[in-house]
Amino acid sequence: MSYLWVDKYRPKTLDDLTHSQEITTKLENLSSASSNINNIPNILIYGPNGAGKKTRVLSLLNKIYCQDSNQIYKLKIDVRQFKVNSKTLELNVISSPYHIEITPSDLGYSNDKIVIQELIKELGSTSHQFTPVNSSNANSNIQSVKFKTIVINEANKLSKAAQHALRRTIEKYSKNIRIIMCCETLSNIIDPIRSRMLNVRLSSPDSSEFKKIIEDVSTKENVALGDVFIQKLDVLCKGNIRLGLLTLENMAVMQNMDLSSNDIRVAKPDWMICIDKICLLALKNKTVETVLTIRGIFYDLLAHCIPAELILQKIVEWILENAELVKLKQEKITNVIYYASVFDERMKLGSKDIFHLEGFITKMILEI
Amino acid sequence: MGIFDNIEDTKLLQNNQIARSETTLTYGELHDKNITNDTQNLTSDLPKVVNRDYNFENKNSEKLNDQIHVNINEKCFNENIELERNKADFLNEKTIDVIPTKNSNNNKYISFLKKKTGSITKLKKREIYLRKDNIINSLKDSKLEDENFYFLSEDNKFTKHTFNQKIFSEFGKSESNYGMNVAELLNQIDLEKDTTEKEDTKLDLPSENEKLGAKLWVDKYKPSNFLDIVGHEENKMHIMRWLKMWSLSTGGCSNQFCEENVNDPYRRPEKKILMIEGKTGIGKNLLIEILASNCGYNLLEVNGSDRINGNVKQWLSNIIHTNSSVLGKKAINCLLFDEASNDINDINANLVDILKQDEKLTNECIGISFKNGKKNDAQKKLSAIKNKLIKKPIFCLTDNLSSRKLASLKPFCEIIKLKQPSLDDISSHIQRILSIELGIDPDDINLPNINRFIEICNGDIRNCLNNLQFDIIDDSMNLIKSVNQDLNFSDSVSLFSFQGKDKKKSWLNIMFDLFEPSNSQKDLKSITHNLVKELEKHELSFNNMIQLSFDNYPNLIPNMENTSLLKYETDLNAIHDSLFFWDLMSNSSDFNIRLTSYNIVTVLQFFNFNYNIYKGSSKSYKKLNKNLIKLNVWNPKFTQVRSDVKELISFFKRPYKIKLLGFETDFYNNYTTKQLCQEFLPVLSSLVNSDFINCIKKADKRDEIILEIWKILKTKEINFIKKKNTFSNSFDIFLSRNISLINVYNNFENISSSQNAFKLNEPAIDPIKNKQLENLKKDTLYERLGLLFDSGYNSNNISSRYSFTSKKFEEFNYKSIEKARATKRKLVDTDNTSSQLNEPPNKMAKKTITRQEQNSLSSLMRKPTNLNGDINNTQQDDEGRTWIKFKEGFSNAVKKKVTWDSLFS
Repeated sequence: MSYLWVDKYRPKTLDDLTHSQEITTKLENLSSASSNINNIPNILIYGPNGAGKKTRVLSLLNKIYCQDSNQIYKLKIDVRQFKVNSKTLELNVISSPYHIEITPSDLGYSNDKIVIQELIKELGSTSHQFTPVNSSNANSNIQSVKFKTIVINEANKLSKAAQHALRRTIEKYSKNIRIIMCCETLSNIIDPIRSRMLNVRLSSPDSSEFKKIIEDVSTKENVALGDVFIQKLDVLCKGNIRLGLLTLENMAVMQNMDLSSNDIRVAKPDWMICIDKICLLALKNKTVETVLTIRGIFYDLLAHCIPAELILQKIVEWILENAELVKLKQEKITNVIYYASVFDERMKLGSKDIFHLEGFITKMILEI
Repeated sequence: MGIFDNIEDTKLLQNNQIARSETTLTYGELHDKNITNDTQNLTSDLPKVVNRDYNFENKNSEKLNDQIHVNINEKCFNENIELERNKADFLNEKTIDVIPTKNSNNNKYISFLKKKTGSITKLKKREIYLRKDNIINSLKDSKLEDENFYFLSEDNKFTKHTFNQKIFSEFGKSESNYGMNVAELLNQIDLEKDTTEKEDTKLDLPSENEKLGAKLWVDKYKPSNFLDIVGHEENKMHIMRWLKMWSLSTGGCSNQFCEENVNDPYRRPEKKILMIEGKTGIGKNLLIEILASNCGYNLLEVNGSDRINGNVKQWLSNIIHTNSSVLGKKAINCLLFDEASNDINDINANLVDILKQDEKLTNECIGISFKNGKKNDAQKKLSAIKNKLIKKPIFCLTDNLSSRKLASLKPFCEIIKLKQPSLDDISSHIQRILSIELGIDPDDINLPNINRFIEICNGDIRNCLNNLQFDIIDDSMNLIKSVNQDLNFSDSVSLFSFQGKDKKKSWLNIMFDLFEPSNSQKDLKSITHNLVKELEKHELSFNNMIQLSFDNYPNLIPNMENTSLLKYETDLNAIHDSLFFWDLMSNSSDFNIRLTSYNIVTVLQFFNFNYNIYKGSSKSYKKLNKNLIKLNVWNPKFTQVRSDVKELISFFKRPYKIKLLGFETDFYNNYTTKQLCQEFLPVLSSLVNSDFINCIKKADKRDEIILEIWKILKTKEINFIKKKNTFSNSFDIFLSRNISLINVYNNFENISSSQNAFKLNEPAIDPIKNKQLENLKKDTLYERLGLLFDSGYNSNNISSRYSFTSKKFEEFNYKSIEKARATKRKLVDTDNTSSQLNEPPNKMAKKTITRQEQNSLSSLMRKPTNLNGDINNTQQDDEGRTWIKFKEGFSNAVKKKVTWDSLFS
């Protein structure tokens, strides 16, 4: 367990879940005792960052295996080792008695299929049987669960090879395992996988839901809240609950638990401030030196593991948001987006991100 | 064999030599044993043994040229720092010049002279090289056995027998009439050698390479003593201190460092392993070798190349647990575990076993001595256990600290991170070597070029030297000739333009050509043609060239502060397109040879860019070259930060299950990398850096938050490290694992610097309610924090918020002190108490802490840190000054004096 608010107030059961009620209901139906629990399909849950995908998945598992008794949260972390041509790869595997959670993309694009081929197959080839925790109760119609669940994080980063490996695995071992995949976007997931899974889209909470979540936590922590703050936080986080709660805690600590003042400024994560700085520099100063300065910032960001694609995306977003403020013409914005897509493609094809980021920023400076 | 006791004798002798027409010289040293055995001609042998006593305590008293005497005894054997190589060289060069002559009888005659006699012309060193070559050739002609003639410049290892090094021998047909009984002296030498080590002389046997002077520079210029090591000043002292702490267990006598860990039966340091991390080629191994031998240790090395048969654990414990003295010698061993992260022999696991056992035994020992005092059987038991304790220091070397193989070993290690020495340090080192090697005045060497060169090697000194040697010395004979013909070393390009067979130029040199502005006045076609020809040979270097070009191309543009990008739009577009092309090509997995040859386009594109910029202009060459040289600032830093951040992330992802005092923690973090670095870590870092005291007024809330963060830091082994500063008698506090690094982008102010000034005189807050925090007091981390103070004056500075926890924990400490004071008040009579209260609070506090420590000691069994000693030290400081030093992440961090008074008032 972690100790920050974001973990402290993470919902543990399906009933605790706050937003996107219709999806929660669906999940509840799936896992309710009335239907055959062993009929649960493989699930592909996708949606923006910080919308609560993982929380939902764990709540669902909690319901299926432990009847909301929170046994599922007794997690441990192991390190699995895989041997590939004399190289040893290591993967963190988070597991409870009922499920395991893996992030195959940690191994890198060319190696993630190993996980599918070895780890998942290994689990799939043994049969499992879990009696629900509360089965001693009068509820005789609770069946034993006959499968183990595998949660795959960052599924959209799986290589094509890994996805194809997965495709057969899903069908072949459907008796013994269920797979739940979490990802931000479906676009990288191949069709055969999509068709084998129940696709669930989870959207971010809208602003009223977001407000409610933030208010809940702050009442529990005795933080005085102002509407202005919530609004600003919403703008910053764009429905990302994790970021919202983290920022809330950070701000609360800095402002002596009082966030009600009207002229409060919400602290952004540093890398976002960097993006602002890049854009402002590019707008203000169109000299060659600017390119060099921005290059320095790019290097800094990349060194802090902020992916180049995200940097590019955020810059474009900034331009779009602030276009009116800086009086950009419509066609110029279109051009910027065009270049962004060009260089985004280049980044995907190549490997030297910095070349293409600089290429893009040069184009952008010239354009705007 | 003769020994010169002073220079006069030397002179006399040399005059004799001049008088005789036939004398022989060996340059450097001659192996006497071989000579005596093999050479029929040998009649006399005149070794001169030069040894300089370099005890570094006494270094002021040493006199450089006067100490020409034999000083071979066991003491100097262990204690002396060996004759510093370069100074020896210097000595050599100064006193002796060499004239080789060839004798018609096919005997080699080389007369050598003291410079002081003045009768012989001086020859420069490079000429000596030439001559040497002649001599060697003539040697071969003479069909004499090669082994008889050794032309040594240096000894290859810094073994302990450097005093055998400078032996000048001469031999010829003639009989011994040098005014000295040579045979007698010979015997004397032999005798002395017997008392030292016979094997050593064998080791001294030079290899074929050495005799030709073609020894690797890496070995040749290996620092042979403490003072030669470039950089690492603080680390050196740290390691030495750590080694000294072992002196009781290794059979030596106690010293001041032994007092730091008073509970240990042998006063050993708390951590039994010293782990040194550092990049390749910065001299980890060397550092340890030198420091260990300095402290009188004999290194036993285990590494990947060794194969240990049988029981590894047995083998290890043989080294670690046994008492000193091997084979009757008094050498004290210590274990060096090289390449720890690539452990083949399963040493890691065995070491961990041994260390765990040792920890248990140590605790037992402490327990016994606490409970039973001086009872007889207890003493016996104690000594029995004491025998099983680790008695030898252990070193670990690694280049990858975050390797998982080391994870289990790390808790037992004191970790030192060796940083790369600064560019200036390396370049001055290389400059010196070059000047010695080429006989050039150091000022003539082009420093920017050397710097450039070092950057290419990523600061890897070993690599640098290797490259230099084979770039330059490969054809050193050519070089020397050209030096005579006025090779101007200040010419910026010349360093890289030595002619080899295949390559006419190094790739870097081509880069200079590419960006040569004066190209622009010439015909584009012809230049391009030439460039293509040259570039084709360097296909494998394209990666480097393009990276360098990319780093530099904006710098080429004149007045880049004011020049608009628009002016160069087409050129820049072309560059970016070709960069993309190159990226694609280098990235493509199906390696098509024919396609890759098109990579040249990218390089040429940069040339074209340069051409267009300077078209028609006549910019001076020098200015541009300067531009080109200063670059490449980003990359090294970039990789450094990147690896640090990666380590931090893997740290947060790594499973950790730690039982903490009072509460169990199964902390885990199921964030993905992305969530970690984009959301979690920036906020955490910002939290850690905030000034809690100032921000949150409610005490219980604050406790709670601090406790939470403390748990995270603790479970993730992020720790405050207290280090005694070597130079000022004070403490430096580091936040290890550099968590601040994750979100300090150096171009920016940190978030929310809007905090008010820190109030020092804040009234004490209610007694602690939180039980867990009470427990914390027993924890090491807490204790360390207790000694950490807030610099808190200028809160606009990021650094002031750095030690939030410290301040906080200090407060708790203070409160507990108050409690202690209260209880004490009951015991002692009132007058006494009041007088105590009248004392300045700082003294009170310190005393109570000390007392408290002693109380908690027995319950803790094993004392976490050397706290007692520390406090005493601080007490000696008149004001108890504490320096707060911050991690480098904060470039504008301050060092500020904080006194106890101000904190407790």
